[in-house]
Amino acid sequence: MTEPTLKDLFQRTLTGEPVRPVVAEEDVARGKARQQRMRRNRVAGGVALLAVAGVGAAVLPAVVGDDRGNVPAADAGDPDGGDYPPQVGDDPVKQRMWDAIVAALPADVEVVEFDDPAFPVVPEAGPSIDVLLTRADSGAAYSMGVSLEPTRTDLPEYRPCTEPGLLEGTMSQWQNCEEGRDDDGVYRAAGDLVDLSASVVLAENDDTSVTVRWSTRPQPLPGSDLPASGQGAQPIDPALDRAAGAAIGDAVLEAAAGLDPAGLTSGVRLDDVVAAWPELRGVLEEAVGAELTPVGGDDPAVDVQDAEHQVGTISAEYTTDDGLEVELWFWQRPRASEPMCVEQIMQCSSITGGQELLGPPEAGGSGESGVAVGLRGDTWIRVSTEDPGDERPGTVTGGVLQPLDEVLSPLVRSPAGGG
Amino acid sequence: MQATDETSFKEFVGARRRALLRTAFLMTGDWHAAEDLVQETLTKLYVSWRRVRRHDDVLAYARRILVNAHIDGTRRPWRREQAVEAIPDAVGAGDPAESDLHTRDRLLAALATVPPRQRATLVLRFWEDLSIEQVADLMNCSSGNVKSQTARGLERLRDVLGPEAFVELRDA
Repeated sequence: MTEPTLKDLFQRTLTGEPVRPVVAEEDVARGKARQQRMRRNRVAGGVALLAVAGVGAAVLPAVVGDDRGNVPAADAGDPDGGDYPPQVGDDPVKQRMWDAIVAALPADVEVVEFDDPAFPVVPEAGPSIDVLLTRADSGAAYSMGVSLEPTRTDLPEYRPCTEPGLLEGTMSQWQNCEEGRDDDGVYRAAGDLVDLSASVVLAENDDTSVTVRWSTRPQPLPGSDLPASGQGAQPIDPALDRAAGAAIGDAVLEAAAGLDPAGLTSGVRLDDVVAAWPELRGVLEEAVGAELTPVGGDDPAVDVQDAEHQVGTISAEYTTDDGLEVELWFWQRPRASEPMCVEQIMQCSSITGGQELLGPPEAGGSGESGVAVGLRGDTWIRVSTEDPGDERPGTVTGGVLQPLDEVLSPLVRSPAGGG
Repeated sequence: MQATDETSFKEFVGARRRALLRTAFLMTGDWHAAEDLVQETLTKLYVSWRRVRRHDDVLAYARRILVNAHIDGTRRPWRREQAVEAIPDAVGAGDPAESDLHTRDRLLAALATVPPRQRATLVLRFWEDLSIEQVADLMNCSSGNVKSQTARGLERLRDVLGPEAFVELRDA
């Protein structure tokens, strides 16, 4: 007797297969419903997260591998900002935030200071401060970012616990999540991004909104014996816990009282991005080493969803003569404290300044990456080819972010309406 | 989605839905769970269809969604498949229909003892007839990992069903 193959055995298990005609319309209807849900979430501002560029990256380039050291630190050493570190400089809002942060730190936690002229620190545009913290003599540093923005009272509060939206089930979903309004009318949310080794607290009153996020994964300080992050590093003793994070948030919220909320907005004008698009395209052409031909009529396509707050997307799709496909997206969300998902590419900005791909990765040879622009903006690039052996997608997406950032970052204004 | 995209999506569903359902069943062991998995797969595929259809191998993309969704689902405790405590006895010599049913139950029980990734690997390799490299690409792992998952899965099945239950080589 011939022994069956495994395929034969599999075939036998299919006995009892339901006899049901395929009705493709039902799958189409479910797909449309999913798209509509994504649109509703976007309109309601119910999805999107805090995304802050390079937590700690502007502070400790030597540790985290940032190579933006060639950008001059305009405010470092300025007499008016002399008592403040370079990431604060002479910006009065940042100075007020800094004073509040330092005063609210736990007694055994301090800001890591670096005085290396080879790696000058560049202040972020807008009311945001990124620092590294260390606890006593632990030898470990933990990144922390604090950002301030006007409360969008025209939008529902961001509800990461009860309305995670498209982030449900992803690495960016808030875990151990709490949200609600306290007796003083302050809306609060707090959670852990377990897979991303980070925690977040949000506090906002009727005028201003503060987000504090910190890493729970240690980075070894120079000279430390601690293993590098990701090589056995354990969040054994993070610099902050949730109560300490909330205390910092409250301190900054209190310090912001009296500030004009309109002066706390930051971001780019979408027109500026459109004007810079030929330069961005030039960056891409240089990276791929070929001329890009636009697909479709718009180069770029502009979708302004909220002109007052400059919320929208700008995108273009290109091909090269040898079959490379390149897609570039810029989007700016309504507020820094929540993510924004772009349904066409199933991509969300993420809490750590990274991005969350909602669908499976692109099939075939492809590369995707993105970079934050200011507190509310993100770029995303996809390069793909149907030739799995073509290594350009990974090479291009890995190398093009910094030149794109160099074009876009100068466009960030704070306040956003200012010249 | 434009009308032409929707038409092509419907054509794909009409041509491939049944095959995806069978693959999903072999991974889940339950037709209802398989239907859920296929619905989830096709919903995600619909949302991404505009960019996915530019690629020739849409089926491979759909399989990838399906496998990822299945393995992700097995990590959620409320959806975890329950391994059976006892495997039914070997096939008897009674009524053929009853024998087939018994064989089916025994095979499904045996498959239920194979961990999800190993089981998915076996299904892709020996039901879908995909190469090691194709499975590695689909499951985002190395060829060596596919080989080891295959070997362990086959070994597990043989442990349960007996060494002569099927003819695949141990190093398949």
